[in-house]
Amino acid sequence: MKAIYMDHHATTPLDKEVLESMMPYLTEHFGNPSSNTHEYGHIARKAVEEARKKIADLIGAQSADEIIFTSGATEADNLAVKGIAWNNRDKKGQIITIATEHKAILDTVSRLEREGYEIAYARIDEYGLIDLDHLASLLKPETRLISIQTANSEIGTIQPIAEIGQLAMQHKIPFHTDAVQALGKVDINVIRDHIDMLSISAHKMYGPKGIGALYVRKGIKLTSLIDGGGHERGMRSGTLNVPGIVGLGKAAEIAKRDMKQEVDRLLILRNRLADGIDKQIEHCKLNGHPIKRLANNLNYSFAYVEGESLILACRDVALSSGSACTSTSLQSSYVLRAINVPESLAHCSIRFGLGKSNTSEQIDYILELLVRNVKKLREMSPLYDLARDGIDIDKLNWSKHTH
Amino acid sequence: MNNYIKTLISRMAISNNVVLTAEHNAILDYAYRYYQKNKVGPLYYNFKKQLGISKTQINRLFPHGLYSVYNWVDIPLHSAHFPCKSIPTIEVNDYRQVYLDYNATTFIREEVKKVLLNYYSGNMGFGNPSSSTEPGRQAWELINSAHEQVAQCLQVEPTEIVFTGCGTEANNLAIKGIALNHYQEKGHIITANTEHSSVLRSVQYMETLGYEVTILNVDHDGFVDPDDVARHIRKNTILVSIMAANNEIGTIHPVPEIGKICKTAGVPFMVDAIQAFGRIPLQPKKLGISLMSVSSHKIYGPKGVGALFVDKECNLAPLLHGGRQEGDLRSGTENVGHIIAMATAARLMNAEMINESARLRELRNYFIDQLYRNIPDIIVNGSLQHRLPHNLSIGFPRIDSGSFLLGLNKIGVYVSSGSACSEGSRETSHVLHAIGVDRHKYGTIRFSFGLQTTKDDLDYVLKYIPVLYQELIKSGDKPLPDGQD
Repeated sequence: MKAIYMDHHATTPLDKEVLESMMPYLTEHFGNPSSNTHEYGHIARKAVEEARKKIADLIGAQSADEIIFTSGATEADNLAVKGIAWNNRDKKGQIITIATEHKAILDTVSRLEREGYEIAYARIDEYGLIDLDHLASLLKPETRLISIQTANSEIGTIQPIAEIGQLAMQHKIPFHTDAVQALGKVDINVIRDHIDMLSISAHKMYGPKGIGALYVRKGIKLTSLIDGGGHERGMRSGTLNVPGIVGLGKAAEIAKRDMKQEVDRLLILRNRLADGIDKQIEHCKLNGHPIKRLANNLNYSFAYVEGESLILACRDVALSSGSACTSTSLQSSYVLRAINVPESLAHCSIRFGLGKSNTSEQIDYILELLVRNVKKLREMSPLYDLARDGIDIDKLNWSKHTH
Repeated sequence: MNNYIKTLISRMAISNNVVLTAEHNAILDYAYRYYQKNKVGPLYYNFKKQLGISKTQINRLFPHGLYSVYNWVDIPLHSAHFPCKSIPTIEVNDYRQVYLDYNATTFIREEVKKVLLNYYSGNMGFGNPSSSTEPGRQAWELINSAHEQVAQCLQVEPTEIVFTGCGTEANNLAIKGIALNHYQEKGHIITANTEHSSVLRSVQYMETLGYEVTILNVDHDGFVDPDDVARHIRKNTILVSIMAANNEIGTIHPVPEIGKICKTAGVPFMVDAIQAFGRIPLQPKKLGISLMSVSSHKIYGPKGVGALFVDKECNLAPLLHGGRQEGDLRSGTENVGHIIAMATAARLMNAEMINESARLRELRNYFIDQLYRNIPDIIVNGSLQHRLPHNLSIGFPRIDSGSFLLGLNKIGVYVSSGSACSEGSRETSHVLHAIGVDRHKYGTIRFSFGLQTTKDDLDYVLKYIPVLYQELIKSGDKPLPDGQD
């Protein structure tokens, strides 16, 4: 069987339709959208504005002007959080987030903490779900921003965004959500859900790398991170990545068009994989919420098996043990630690990120591969011997058929 | 106003939670009528003059200021940028398209296109370079090789290259990165008044945070005087930022001299080489440069990627935090396809520099000689001697550059009147202002040349410029005084 790609949370292949839409802008239409004096510039500008509309459509924004293009979601996250924080450089204030956010948020807030801002982390439960009462209790007059992701990239947990939005609106606090993993899989509407800012990445929804966007609701002012020609309503200077933007626009259009159908398909595949694992492999634990989770995500800890060894053993399947952005470090996943997965199990975790290319044959193939390799690796594990003798080292609740 | 516009306005007002007042209506009505009459949208200036309503008021009344006004009465946004009255038309019997705006952006050359298409069609994998999967490893190797290629061009180490989202970001990273590293004690920054807006605005932003800033004046040819730099360096100077060559008038600054001064003083020297890279030899290590920015779309690569050389002795605070890519200086998943395309573009640019620059210099000199012959009272902005080989900025007496430019547009000649980067505005060029060009007397056109420019192209342009110029003189179109366009 050909190599199988099952790491769609890290990145996704470029959709053929997206590639086709980008092609003219990678070749003949090379104009600078800011060149307002000739046709080359106009063509580029028109393409950019069309893409802006498509993105606004995907998230239900009122106006296309509310979309600010960035070089990616990391920049979008940085712009949202620092942009709000730096509006109040003198008075500082408080920013609320959660411990399972992407590093683009966590590293940013810790930088702000060093600058004198107060950072509060709302409590999350064992599934990674936010505790809304605790969030409400943290709010105070100096709260500048609430930033909570829509869905987690490792454990797929989907947060109650609409409730958070409601709360933020009642207290007139700007609400930012990193929707990178959720777009195209979760129905998001910035108006209905009272979202003030929302980060978007193209390469997580079959678009190109190097382009993202931040939705900024009208009336929200941000201090820009990148100054210069005053592009993007002054919030993000720099010549626009036209082919990237066109690709993002197309990816957004497709995501909207295919969402329902693709989510249904992914759910069937995902459940097939989960059922298989639960039935055929003992001592494994599902990390994250059994129901409130992304349709394409599974995260399992296989006790007594080192995650990295299992990944190596399943060589022809591209899998990962956690977030791509931190996977070069050997530490266990900070997300799993944040939801109190014991260290011994956090090291045994595998993330399955399903996507468009995956088929049910592939799922069956992976299942067989997992069963075989988990067995093989456990046979080499002294801990497993102990466990079989009835010594339960961590007194764990093994997962049952929960979904 | 027709019904469509009326419905549009009420719909926009509702969806933007705006309660329409008499002020709103006056603004919208004026904008609509102005557009019907002039086929271009009014600018803030027009509102001020006609209605006495200021920019601040418009921004307060409408969620996105002028953008909203245009949107609500269905004025195409780009039409704001055509503030000229008449567009002269002349007969041409040998029409061709001649792109002479290479300082704004360049087309993507074939070799680079091939890399892009190869990557984007999936032939080189699509992995995330930070992912430990096999596709990730492949992508990581591509990025590594790109680092090596760009480093090779500059004769620096691969780890000293940081890829960014564009040249503007590279400039911001260099300046804010150095400055924010001295956030506690602040410090002093030196730059010049003809720098690109991404440098000037970054420096000005640092000033609002309490940093001291010295902005040096250039002379009539646009040069920074190295002695002036030396005189202004203080004990607490943390950065000197001077561009290698100017984007509007092509003036090449005395970088080696300034580099020496900075090196002696122990002050990091940042060079914006976005226009100069691949046109003139620049080896940061030899020139005492600590930071140097490059942009891909000025060297026949794609838009959306740039690079910053950061000397390993130099400490920067990153602008973007997150996954710690690019040596922790620039978080965010790498734009793999664009990065490898930029590396190819840089490599070719570097390899062809000597021959191509000589060719362009010859073409440019031919162009200016011929132009002088036909319109003797033109002026050249900036120095002809120390100038980028592919740039020419000409002041034409007694005409409005906007009308001239659109006239040229009509016969297929694409040029610009200044920098393309001052988005949505036609304010006086700060560069022309800095070198003392009298905008009441001269309309300025920037011609910039590149790989596809041939002598035939220039002959076509040279044939029609005098005709068009005479037309404009006849119609009595004068350059607009400062601030009125």
